[in-house]
This record gives sequence, structure tokens and C-alpha cells, in this order.
Amino acid sequence: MSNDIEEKKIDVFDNKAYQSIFLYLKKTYKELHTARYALFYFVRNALRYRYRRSNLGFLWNILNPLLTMMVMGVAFALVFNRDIKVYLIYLFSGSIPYQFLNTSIQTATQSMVSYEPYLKKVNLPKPFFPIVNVSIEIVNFVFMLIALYIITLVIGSKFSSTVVLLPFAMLILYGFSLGVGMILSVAFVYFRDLSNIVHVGFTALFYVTPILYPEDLVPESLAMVFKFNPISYFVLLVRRLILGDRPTTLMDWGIPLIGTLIVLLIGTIVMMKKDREIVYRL
Amino acid sequence: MNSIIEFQDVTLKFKIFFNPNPTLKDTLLSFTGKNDAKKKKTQDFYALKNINLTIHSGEKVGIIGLNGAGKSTMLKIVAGIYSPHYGQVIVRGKVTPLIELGAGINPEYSGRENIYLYGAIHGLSPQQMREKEQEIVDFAELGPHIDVPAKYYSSGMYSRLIFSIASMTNPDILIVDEVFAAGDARFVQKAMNRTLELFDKSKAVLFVSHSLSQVEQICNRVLVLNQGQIVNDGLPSEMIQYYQDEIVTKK
Repeated sequence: MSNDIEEKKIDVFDNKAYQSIFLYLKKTYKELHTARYALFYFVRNALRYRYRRSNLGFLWNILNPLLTMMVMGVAFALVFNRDIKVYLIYLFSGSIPYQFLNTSIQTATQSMVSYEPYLKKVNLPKPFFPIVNVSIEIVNFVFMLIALYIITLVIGSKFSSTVVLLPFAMLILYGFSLGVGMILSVAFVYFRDLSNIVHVGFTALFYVTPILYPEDLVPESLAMVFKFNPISYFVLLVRRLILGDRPTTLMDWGIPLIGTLIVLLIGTIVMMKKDREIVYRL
Repeated sequence: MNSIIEFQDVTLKFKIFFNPNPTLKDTLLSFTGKNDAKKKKTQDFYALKNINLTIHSGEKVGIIGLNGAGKSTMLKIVAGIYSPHYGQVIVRGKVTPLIELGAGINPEYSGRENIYLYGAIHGLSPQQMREKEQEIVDFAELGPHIDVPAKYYSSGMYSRLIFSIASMTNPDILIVDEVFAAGDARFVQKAMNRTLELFDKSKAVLFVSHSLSQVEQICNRVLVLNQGQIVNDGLPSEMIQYYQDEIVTKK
């Protein structure tokens, strides 16, 4: 009963809205606008239920990074004999953006698969799912910043005034994670090994990103590896804004911004091409 | 009469994967040609074939057919979940699906949170849901349990909650797929009445059921689906007769 289909067919996979990026974005924007309350509930519930049944509940969203940072700070101060006042803020101004990129990209990669019941039963636009997971992590980013701020108050160091520019940097990081997340979430539907590869990849990236050590400690022979590590440009931008150790240059903003626009473009194209096929492959 | 739903030459196929999730190893091996699974990986199954259909305002269309005839697939196309591979579908109006009712309900969340979440998924603002909240709670007869996580509900409570939430919208196009499975007899009756009310409020209805008496009672047009094709289309009593004579008995 398979090949008695007439030849005359209008192939809807060539439908205009899935042919032009502009039309696809317009359509997606419209659908996302309708789903904006859903986005809010997905993000809020994820944060609220992460620590459900604990006595402090939602407060753990801030307490958890706060305590973790304190333990790590004390450990580094005691073991490596660093000046905690300087090192702590140095360490976390780098590890917070790294953590964001790591977690948001990894959860976004799994978003299509983990929200499968929704994809198969309700009509939400496909980009909604990576957006949810990246949004959850950007809120966590803010929680971690609050925790770091509290620590700086306690130990008597402080954020640079350039921190007011941080929202712009966060917007760029959000876009980058979303772009990469869109590409990988679609790819993950087809190759389920991908999440493990991404996981290992991020572990490797951690060590070639100047988080634990300053950038000028990088040996000459490895300089190229560091240059081609996309993560470090984002991490360093955030760190410079928090530390204010030197003013940010056009390159500091330009490279991440252009990288973000490129991955967003590719992500949108990948989404558009596979939008209607995903549901059949879950 | 305005057409509300149009299917133009709609074909939808499912690929049946013999190896649904190829791993990297399979994929790499398939390039080298050493993979045993290379022989035949997929097979097409046509769930719908060349469907042409126009539904006008005021029509209450019943869809009957054997299991696997394509009934639910048709509804899912109208709901926007499946895209057909060929052909065109035009849907004019807001679709309220009473299909796969568990969709959008998270058992970890309380009944009340689920009300807002479900509404949000279907584009309703928290303010709009606040107006409906009490009505939903009352209809579901959950009383104080509304703030308990839904996973602690009995299956009857669970399906009452789901039906109450899902049926609380004002649809242009209502699509209903076998929703009266759970709940006690009294609630099923109540749900049935609610659905009939919704039928009257909607501009067009698509109703899938195996209960032929329900279809005859509710619908004013019936489609008979068999193996992905519309084999007959007309008045309920005639179509039910045709279905029983030509399809059920011949199987």
C-alpha cells in the first residue's frame, strides 16, 4: 500500500515559511509571542522545583552557588596560599560565565528530546524548547552573580563599575548559547551520542579556558589552541567587566558578537530546515 | 458558507525505522559499507493518502474507521502537530484540541499550577486563567486537593482535572478524540454534557470516536476513513450503515 500515490503533489516541505529565514523568523516570533506565558511558567517552575521539598526551597538557587563558592574560595586560599580577596573574584568572574555556557548548551542540546511529550502533543514552536533551557540558565547566571556580589561584600573586595555593561555581555552569551543550542538540539534528535560528546568537549574546554589561571600564563606552544577556543572570548569579556582590570576593547566585544550572530544564523537555518521533521524522529 | 478547514491532496507518511536511533558507530560504519543494518533501514507507511476535504462553518464532523485508519493523524494535522509531507492544509481559527489529554500536564506540579501552565501553553494569559480558575476547580470537583501535586491524585481525579482544564476554552475549531475513557459514570455524563456545550459554541467540530451511537447523536456529517483514505463522506446514519456493512464486516 505504498506506491499508489499520485505524482501530482504539492510538497509542503517547500512551503514558503520554511524557505526564507525572514519568513521563518516572523512566524516563529509570532508563535513565541503567543507562548510567552508558557515560557515564563516553564522557567519559573524549573527553578522552583529544582529544590522542591527542601526547607529553604527557592532560596537554594542562591545559597547553593554561594556556599560552593565559599568552600572553593577557602580551599584555594588554604591550599594554594592565594590572596583570597583578589583570587576569589578572579576565579568566579571566569567560572560563572563558563558554567553558564556549559550548562545552558548541554541542557539545550537535550531540549528537543527531553520535551518530547510536549513536541508530540501540543503545538509550540520548535525553538521554544532550547529557549526555555537557556533562559533557565541565564536566570541562574544572575543568581550566581548575586552570590558572588554577597561574597565580595563579606571579604571586602568589590565589582568594577564597568559591571553596568554586563547585561549587554549576558545578552551576547544568551544568544551564543541559544544559537549553539539550536544547532545541537536538532542534531541530537538524529545522533543521540552527541550529548556525551558535548559533555566531554566542555570538560576539555574548561582547561583551555583561562579560568583557574590568568591568560598570560598560557605557554607559547599552546597559544593557538587557546586562540581557537570560542568559549574563552565570552568568559574573558565577562571577567573584564566584573574585574575592570583593563578597559574592554572593540575586539573584546566584536569577536563574541560576530560569533554569536553567526551561530544564531546557522541555528535558525538548521531549525527551519528540520522544524517539521523533528516530530517524526523523536 | 465559509470554509474553516481545507485539506488539499494531503499525504502523510511515517518512516518506520528498523534502527530508530542510529549511534555514531552505526553511522560511521554505514559510510564504510560494512554495516549489516544497511540493507533496509526504513520503510514508508502512509498514514494519510491524498486527502481532499473541506469543512464549513457549522459542521460537526465525525470521523470513523478502524484502528490505524488515520483518524488521530488527521486531528493532529489540524492541531498543527504533524505537518503533511505533501499537499496543503488551511485552518482558519483557533484550534482547541481535546486529544491526548495528558499533554501539558506535569504530574509534579499542583492542580492549580497545571491550570495556569496548560492555559499558557495554549496562549492564555495568567489574568485570563485567573478568571477561569474557580470554574475549573469546581468542575473538576477537586476542592482542597487542587494545591496537591497531581501525581498524588487518583486516576479519576487526574482525568477530571485534565478534562476540566482542557474544556475550559472557547474554541473556534474543536477537535475531540476519545476523551471519555476515565472517570466515574457520573463525571463521564457531566463531561459529555460539557463537550456538547462546547460543540454548540464552536464554529466547527472534528470528532473521533468508536462509539457509533455517539457519532450519530452528535454529528451532522461523517467521514469514513480506511487505510489512510476517505472512502465515504455524508450523512451520519448512512455512513454508519456503510461503515458497518463495508468495512467492519469485511475485515
